[in-house]
Amino acid sequence: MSTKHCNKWFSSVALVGLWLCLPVNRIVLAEDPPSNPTFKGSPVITGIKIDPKNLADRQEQAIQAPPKHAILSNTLNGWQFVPIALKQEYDTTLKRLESLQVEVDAGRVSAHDAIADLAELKGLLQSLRAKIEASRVHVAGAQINEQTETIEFELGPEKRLAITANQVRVVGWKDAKVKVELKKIVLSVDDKPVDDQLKAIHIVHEHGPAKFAGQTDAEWQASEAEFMAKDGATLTAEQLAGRRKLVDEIRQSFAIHLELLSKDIDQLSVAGLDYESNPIITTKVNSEGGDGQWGSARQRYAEMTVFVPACKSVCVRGAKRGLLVEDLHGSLTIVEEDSTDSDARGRFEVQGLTGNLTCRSFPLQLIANVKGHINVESFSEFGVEGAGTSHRNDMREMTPARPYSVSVNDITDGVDLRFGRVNLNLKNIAGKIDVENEYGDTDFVATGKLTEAAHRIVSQSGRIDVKLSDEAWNAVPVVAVTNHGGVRTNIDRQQFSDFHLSGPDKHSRVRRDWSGFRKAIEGEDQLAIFNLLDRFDAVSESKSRSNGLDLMTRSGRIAIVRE
Amino acid sequence: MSDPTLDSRDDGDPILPNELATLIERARQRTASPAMVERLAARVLEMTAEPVTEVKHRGGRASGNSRVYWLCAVAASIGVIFSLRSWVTVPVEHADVAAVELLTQPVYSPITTVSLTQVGYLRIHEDLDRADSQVEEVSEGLAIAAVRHEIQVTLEVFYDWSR
Repeated sequence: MSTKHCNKWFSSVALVGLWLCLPVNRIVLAEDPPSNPTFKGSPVITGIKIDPKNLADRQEQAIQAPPKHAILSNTLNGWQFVPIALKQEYDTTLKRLESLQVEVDAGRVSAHDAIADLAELKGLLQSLRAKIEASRVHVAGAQINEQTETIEFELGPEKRLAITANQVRVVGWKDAKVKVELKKIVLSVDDKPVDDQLKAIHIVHEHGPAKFAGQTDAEWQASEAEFMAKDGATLTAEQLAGRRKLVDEIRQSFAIHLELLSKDIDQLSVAGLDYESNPIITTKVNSEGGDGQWGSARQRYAEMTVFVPACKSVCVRGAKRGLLVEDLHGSLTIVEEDSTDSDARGRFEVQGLTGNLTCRSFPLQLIANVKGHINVESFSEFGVEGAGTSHRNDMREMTPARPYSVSVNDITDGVDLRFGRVNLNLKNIAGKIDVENEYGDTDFVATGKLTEAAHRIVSQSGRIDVKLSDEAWNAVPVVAVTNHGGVRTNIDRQQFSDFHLSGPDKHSRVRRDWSGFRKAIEGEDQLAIFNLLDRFDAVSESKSRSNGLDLMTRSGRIAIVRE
Repeated sequence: MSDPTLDSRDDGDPILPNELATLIERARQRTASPAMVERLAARVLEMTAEPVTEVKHRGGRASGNSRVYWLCAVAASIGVIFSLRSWVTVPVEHADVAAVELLTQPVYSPITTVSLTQVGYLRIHEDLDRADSQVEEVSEGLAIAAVRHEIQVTLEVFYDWSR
């Protein structure tokens, strides 16, 4: 198992390494592999003749983009270029908008002025964007060759399906069979035939035990016993303890697939896209007085669309180039494992699910219309905008990307969300709300009645903005508390009273200050406020506590608005 | 207990009391959410809980054992006003429900949801100033929250070149 573990790690490193691009003229960070050609109708480069026959010869030379043009984005087979002056003006205007947000957050600008500034900047951005759209030029670095393969089959008795692919669309449908369409894509930089390359990409359908789900307890114990009989005797107690810890961690990493253990299920995957057999092509582009980029890309790609009847479960593995799930009936598990490619600007959405959703370390951007519970854990930095390393005044600065945005709307059975740093938007959540967004901002809108449960939204340094309808406000007790941040509300003191407490943090065993607002409780004992210290510990650790909505930050600001 | 004759009068518009006209003028300057205005309205109702036994209007009719409300919806999108008037009588025991039902006709402005206020009678003047300050406070809080959200959405839209 440790070999497999190491292979996964190596694969990730290799993937990152592949996409390191070298600067040609102005430095452009190649933040991600080429994305799909999403600019429909984009004009192919004009003024510079691209002859695909000569692309191979020109691998050593840079493909020439129009002069004084900047790279707007990568596409599957090239780049979108726009006049550099326009791009710079656009970026500057976006920075002004970001500054306005900072001013609003700091309370240095009134709503009236902010609205006026926003309207001006929005108008400017719209105008610039229109100019950019009109002037963008697609510079091709390779030719695209496509072919489609289709298969159909009936799900086995378990009614469970696992899909391992880099780019997946899952569509729920009423037909009894599963239908799979695979769009194969091969990039070419010369006039050699690509038939063999297209043939190498194909659908693999198996019915049998899910090897990716790990081993049963008995199998783990047997392999441990075998190890101990062979090599265990040579290890010290300390080495054995370290090994046991590692083995436990590895076993735990398979926990998400527990329900698939020892079951024969249908499994779909795509052959021909593994690191070993998928060739690499090198591309170089340059705009005189503008941007340049030198990078490499995989030659083969595939987009798998799977039409799925109602079933017990679907597990999607990989899908780091894109994932769209629509109207699926069955529980859904999404994990990043075994992806051999990724697109940082891909689309990752679940829209329409009757069943529970479990997701680990995956860049889902939208989860909407789920009749079930959702459980998401994602601590990776999936954003790319604004990320990079720069040099200035003998200082080297590594800048994180703008936070990735995640929207969760219309969920019937509660949410359990753990994020490292995302811009999280929550709306219309029924059931229990349990959210930790450690360093990102969370925006929660409750238009209907909140379920009577122990809800919490917790952050270390992120903002928490909550908008409550009357119905939501009246449903449960509400507490907003921070150690080092600020709290704002438009609810009057009689209903939402101030408090300041100083006392032990039961978790870290240090003394802390706690300030905030809490919904007034009629006839409450005056000393009851000190019970809040116990509650804060329970909220922080997601332990059992009485019903209520708790909003807690260490240093982030909290705003609660009652509509 | 209601007096349907008040709804079907045929003698033209009722006479607007001065208080109502004043409130309309003030309300049209306001930007507040319907829910907030509802709460304010409910508060006004609470404070003016004394039953009214007689309301005059052109034609000289009177309401007897009903509570009579002037409900005036004032929708203000910035600088524009309209008015919607209706003469409604409701039994005392259904007053609160009726008030809420009649009070929701939001109009959306570019800034925030703006709309509708309800006026009772009698002691409105006494409560206007307080209501005004509350509306202003709420409006600013709502508007700041709304503009922040809109900035966030705008940033996401304009940073995204993938769609």
